[in-house]
Amino acid sequence: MRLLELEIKNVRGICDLTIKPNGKNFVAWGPNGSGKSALVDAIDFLLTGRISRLMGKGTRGITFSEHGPHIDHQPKDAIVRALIKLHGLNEPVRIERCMENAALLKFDGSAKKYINPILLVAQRGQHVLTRREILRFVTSEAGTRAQQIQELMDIEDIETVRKTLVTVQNEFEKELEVQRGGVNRAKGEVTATAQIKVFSEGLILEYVNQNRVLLGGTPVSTLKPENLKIELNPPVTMATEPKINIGLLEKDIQNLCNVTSEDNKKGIAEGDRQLRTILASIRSNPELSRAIARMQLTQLGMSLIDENGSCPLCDKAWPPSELRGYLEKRIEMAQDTLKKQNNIAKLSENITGSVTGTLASLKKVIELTRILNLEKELSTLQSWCVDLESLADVMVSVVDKYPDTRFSPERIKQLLAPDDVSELMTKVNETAKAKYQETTPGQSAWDTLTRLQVNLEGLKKAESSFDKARLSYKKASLFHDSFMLARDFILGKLYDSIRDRFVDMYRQLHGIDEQDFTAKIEPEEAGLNFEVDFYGRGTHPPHALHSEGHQDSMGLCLYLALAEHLTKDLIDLVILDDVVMSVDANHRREVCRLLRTYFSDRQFLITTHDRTWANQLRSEGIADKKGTIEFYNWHVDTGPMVAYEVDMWERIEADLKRNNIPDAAARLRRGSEQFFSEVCDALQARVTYNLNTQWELGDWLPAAMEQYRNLLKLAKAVANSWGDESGVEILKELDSVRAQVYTRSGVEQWVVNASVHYNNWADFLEKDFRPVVEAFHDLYNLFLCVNCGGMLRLTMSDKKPENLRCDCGKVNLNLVSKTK
Amino acid sequence: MSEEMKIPKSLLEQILEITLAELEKHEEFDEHTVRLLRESSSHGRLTKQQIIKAIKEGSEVKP
Repeated sequence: MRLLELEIKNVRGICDLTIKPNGKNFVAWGPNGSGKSALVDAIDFLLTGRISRLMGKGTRGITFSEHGPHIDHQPKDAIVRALIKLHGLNEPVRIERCMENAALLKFDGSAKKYINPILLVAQRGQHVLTRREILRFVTSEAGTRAQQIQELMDIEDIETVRKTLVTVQNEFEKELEVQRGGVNRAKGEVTATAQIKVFSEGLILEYVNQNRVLLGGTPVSTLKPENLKIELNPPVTMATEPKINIGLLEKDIQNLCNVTSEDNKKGIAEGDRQLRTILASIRSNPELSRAIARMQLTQLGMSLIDENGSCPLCDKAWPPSELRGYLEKRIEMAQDTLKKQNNIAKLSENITGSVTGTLASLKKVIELTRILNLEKELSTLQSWCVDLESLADVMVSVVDKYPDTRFSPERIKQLLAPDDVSELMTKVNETAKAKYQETTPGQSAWDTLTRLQVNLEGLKKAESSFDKARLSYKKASLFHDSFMLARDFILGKLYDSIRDRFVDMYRQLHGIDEQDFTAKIEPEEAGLNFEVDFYGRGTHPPHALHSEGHQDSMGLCLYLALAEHLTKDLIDLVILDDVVMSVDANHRREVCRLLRTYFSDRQFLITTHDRTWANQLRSEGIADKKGTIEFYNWHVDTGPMVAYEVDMWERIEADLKRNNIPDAAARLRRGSEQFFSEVCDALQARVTYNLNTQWELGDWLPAAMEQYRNLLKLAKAVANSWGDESGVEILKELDSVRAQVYTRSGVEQWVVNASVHYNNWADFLEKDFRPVVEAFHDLYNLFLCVNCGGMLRLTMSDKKPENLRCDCGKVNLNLVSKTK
Repeated sequence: MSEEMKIPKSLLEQILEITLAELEKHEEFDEHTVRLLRESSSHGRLTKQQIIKAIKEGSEVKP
């Protein structure tokens, strides 16, 4: 997309302005507060429906509807229209947006499919670089600089999705822990009923069949809830209160008493000790955990090492067989850690089985104690239950949570039971026996199978939920991991291409001084690592060692590299809003060359408050006079005054026709001061130094002419040294022209006190002054290429003149003699 | 830009496209889940709720 015309009505500081870039580069210059940035705001609004400057940090209290339109104007009065040229369409398209309905861009519907991609890219804000942004690039902290670049690249949404995927993964991991705890508890119910320490299908089945035999049944071969009471008849005499089965409860009471038996305590204490030791050894060496995470990658890497032994992932060169040895060591470390992990699983399974089994029995006994109204005992048992629940939760994620400081080894070994648990159980048991009649063995067997059936159904349900949670967690992990790989692939590719372009442009900008400059732009963890080389002394953050001017040019190069990539083939228009503040004059010239040589297919809209830079942009051929406007005398009621840069010679001609010689003379003087100051800069002419740093034409013009004469003389000597006779003749001719033009223009007169000859000319007639003007015109042409219009420039090599040339190469005078 | 020119994919869209193509290769991901994720990602931002819903729905039936 190229901008042909732009009409702005009542937007920000502009009341009514029309510019016609006609698809070419455009420069708007003027002092601060003259309304230049409003031009950028208007284009931003036209393409996006918003004004970036009114959004984000530091814009609190600023609203689009109130502060978007020019002061005292309503949103309905604030309109931006443009005529744009789109790729693929021969005819230009008119587009229009009004602040009253900022979301609506009006245009001919037939252009929709061409405009929509442009609007999408514009929404990402990649077509405008403002000074504010470049300052953010260069002055931000190291950590936030990457953030700024990410914002510009509009990859914040990638980071948002990454964070979302991490959150999702964490949620499913928590859910998995909950479901794992549910399975553990369900297994505890089963082991408590079957009175076994660790869950074992064989032992449970054996227990089931013992009870089936008591009921006159035959053994079953599979442990399924629906099989437990198959082909069995209930006992003839049913308990009067079926809820209370003293026989079953005695088993629960016995389970709780066993907790404090010496055998049990010894087993748990030993398991606890070993678990603490292994976990401490893993935690003391983070490399162990990482080794496991990397094992698969390490194994893959080993299989890919070729005969030269360099790293298959990063191509780093390794001495023969050293890399293989290093990877083998890492795999060994990972395998050792894996063994430890298996041990942890086994030890924690034993403790978990005891905890959940005890918890299941404890809950049954608590129920009984409540029925028996044993308040003191109930309170003690409930407190134990709370602690045991906490321990069961810890056991779900042993590696992260075990041991818990609330539970000492002394308490763990008796599963947090109160010291008087035996006496307490005796009291509950005796009270229950006194109140309820003994149950028959048949009744107990029937009730045991019933309870086991319920337990196994609960376990089946818990396992099903656990399977679902495990599958969900795996999916969430796969989603996250795949996203990260895809992100690194896409961004890595993007960063590589941007880095290469950035380095190339930065080298171009800084010439021989930075010919070996390199940079690193790569994804790092959740962000982006951006480091630059410092004269071959390694890479460092951009603000660490480089000067502010270098940082500014880095910001510009990086932006141009990014924008070039991200707006390719869609938005040719690149807006640079006051972006070369700290770049010195020499490097600004290089910026011009960079824009001209690297971005000849782009249209730049450049704003600046710096007249010198605006002139440089013209003299370097970035913008022509029709593409340069000056903003001045901004007033709240009228907005800025705008002046197009009209050709000086045309204006002088108009003055001459009106016989207004004083104006023509003044114009010629001012224009020539500007022109010859640029010539002196281009030819590296020696201008007499003034302490007040004020120079005038009498300083610039003789210095420029003297340097030109010297360079022609040198070029002639060089041509002679090479035996280039025709070259010598051309140079003689050039020198002759120089001398004639010099005489005709009466340069000496200009050197005299400015006010004296100004007054002299004021008395001239048109016929007297016209020859002076014509002579000056010819004088200017001595320093300009007839082909490209660019100014001749002296180039140096090792502080010696190398050649005098123009940008297109049509003029190219050799200044290096043949060595004898 | 030709008639066939489509709106260029953002970096995020490119990443999600590769990601979802990768997920399709995993047996844990059934067609239904991937379709739900693809739909969610094409309608703008992929939210936590959308991802959780898609994964949970897919986990109801084991692949």
